[in-house]
Amino acid sequence: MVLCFALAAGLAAGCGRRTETTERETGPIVIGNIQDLSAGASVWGQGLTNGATLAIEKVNAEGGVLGRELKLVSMDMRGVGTEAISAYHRLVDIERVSAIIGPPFSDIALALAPVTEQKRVAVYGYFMDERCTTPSPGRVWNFMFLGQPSCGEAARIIASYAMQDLGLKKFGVLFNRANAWSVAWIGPLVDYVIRNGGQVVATETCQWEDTDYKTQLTKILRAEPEALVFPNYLREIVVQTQQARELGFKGPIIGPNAFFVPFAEMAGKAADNIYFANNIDYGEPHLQDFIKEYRERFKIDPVAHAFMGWDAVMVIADAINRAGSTDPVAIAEALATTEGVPGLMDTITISPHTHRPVGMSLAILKIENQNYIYIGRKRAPD
Amino acid sequence: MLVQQLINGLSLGAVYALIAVGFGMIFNVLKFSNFAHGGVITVTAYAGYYVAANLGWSFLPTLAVAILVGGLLAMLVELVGFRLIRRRGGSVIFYFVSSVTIGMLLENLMVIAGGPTFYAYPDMLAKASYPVLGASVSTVNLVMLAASTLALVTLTWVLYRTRTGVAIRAISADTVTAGLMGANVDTLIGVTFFVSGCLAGMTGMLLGMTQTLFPQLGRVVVKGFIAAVIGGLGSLGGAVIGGIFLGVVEVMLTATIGSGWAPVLLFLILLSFLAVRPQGIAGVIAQEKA
Repeated sequence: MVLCFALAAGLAAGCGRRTETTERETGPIVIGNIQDLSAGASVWGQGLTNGATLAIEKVNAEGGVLGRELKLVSMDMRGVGTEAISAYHRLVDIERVSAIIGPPFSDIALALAPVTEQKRVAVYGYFMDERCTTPSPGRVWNFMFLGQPSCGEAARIIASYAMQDLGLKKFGVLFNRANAWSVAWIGPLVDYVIRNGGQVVATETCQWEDTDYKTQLTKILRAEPEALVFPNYLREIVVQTQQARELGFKGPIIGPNAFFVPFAEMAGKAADNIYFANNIDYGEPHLQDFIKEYRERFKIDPVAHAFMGWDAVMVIADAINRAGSTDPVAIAEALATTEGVPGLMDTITISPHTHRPVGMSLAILKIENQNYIYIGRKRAPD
Repeated sequence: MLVQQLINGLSLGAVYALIAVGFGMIFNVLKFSNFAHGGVITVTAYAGYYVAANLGWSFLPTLAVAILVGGLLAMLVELVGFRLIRRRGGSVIFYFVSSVTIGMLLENLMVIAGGPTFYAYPDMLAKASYPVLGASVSTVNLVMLAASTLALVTLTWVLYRTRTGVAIRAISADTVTAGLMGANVDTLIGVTFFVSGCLAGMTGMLLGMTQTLFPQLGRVVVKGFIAAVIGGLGSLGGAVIGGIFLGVVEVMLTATIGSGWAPVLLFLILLSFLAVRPQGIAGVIAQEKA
């Protein structure tokens, strides 16, 4: 009886596997997408998903990849690491995806990285903390890939602009100590400032659940910085900027791409004299078709992450083409040798040694009276 | 810097106090911790945003809408979530589970209704802050402090100087006996929830103005709960004192030992406080009995 049951179970499992394999070889090529679609960073997650959706539609309209259509399966991880890992397992085991677009959260990607080594399905995402792709010098996570400049590069880009172009020397920093991305921003920034003759006159920390930052800001402002640095997420920087202005600080505020749309609208009058490094600027000529289509389709301006979603699909589609297969391991190997893929944010070449893009630039933007002003593109200094 | 940090503490305390008073009102009458209060705060914040951003209403009419929506929603919460439990003489745990569930339900409804986007109230105040003794005081925080004080004074007057207040206090002491004495228990409890909801409406809109708008906004109710416990659960005066105390201590700890250790020490202080003086600052010891 037990033997019969075991045989039946084995046959059922075998049948299931055969069906799944057949589906993977003949149906649409499934790309997973793990994003925050309903919680604190859902503006980004939704934007990234929208951008990826448009890219998938474009690829399919042009005949798909390897003669097959692409299909995006999105899962809401609600900003929670455990949910992201469950989503990864589900996408690999049940949806049988060939590659996954990961969430733009370093702390979550850090937890996800070891899991990818077991399941061997690549995650291409925007987790900027270097440890998400290289856990230690000389070592690389085989299935983790970054699609934009890392924290260190982004921090050096905006710090070099602030020091060389704006002539700022004294900085006060407020960062979220519970956010790996925020923490990974600070080290290279402080290092760059000090190496170039500047000073970080005050460093204060906040936490996820904080909603009032006046205590930390009061301490920072007492040290009389020329500029404030807020390498934090959207909701945090809106409140931090407003409260810094309420406390009387009128100097420049510098930071990451979180200051892009919809920051200026949300921060209101406080959104002035702000400089940040962003992936794109709305005025760049090659983006106009995408922006027009995005606005028509979703009735909203694209956030920076929308462009990331597009680029992620294009890079993955290129890798599938070069791999000539939907096998996740072959796709991961192809991702590691990505070269010259034209993206919306820049041309993308991935280093096989770091799994991060090589020489990608960022656009320097200024916010003046709630308006975004393009200054120029800049690459990370050494 | 000390003056500014003290003002920061008072500002934060005003937020906690306003929540704690609304929270304390329900505990005063039904003797349970109403975590659905956070959900009402969230919904009213969105309601206020809707009329301010889409209809272009100014500060006071928007505040009136938020207060009204809060009051009506809280009455609905009582009707749907608690009335049946009360009539069946359900235990406190049922109230607790129901309140947490409704809080989560309202939060998730806002995720659906508001979508995945953050929102920010339009600028409705002529001036964001005022200089006081060389420090800066946020206008919204001033409104919050005034609202907490006004709510406390008004509620105290209603509870101790009006027939309705006497009836509410009678229900607070013994629901069944008050009913047998002729008090309309359902109506009076509904009124209590309405007033508590009005406070949630005020809190929601003012929080939305200072902290942007997102579905998890109402989770700050936990801090209001702690403030109510410190002040003495069931005491409205204690709630205000507890809120201010919590805000000032939190700010001073953050300023001295940093935001990492401040919550740790804050919760240790709370635990010690409960061990030494479980009745809270106001000295009222109210037990959950529903």
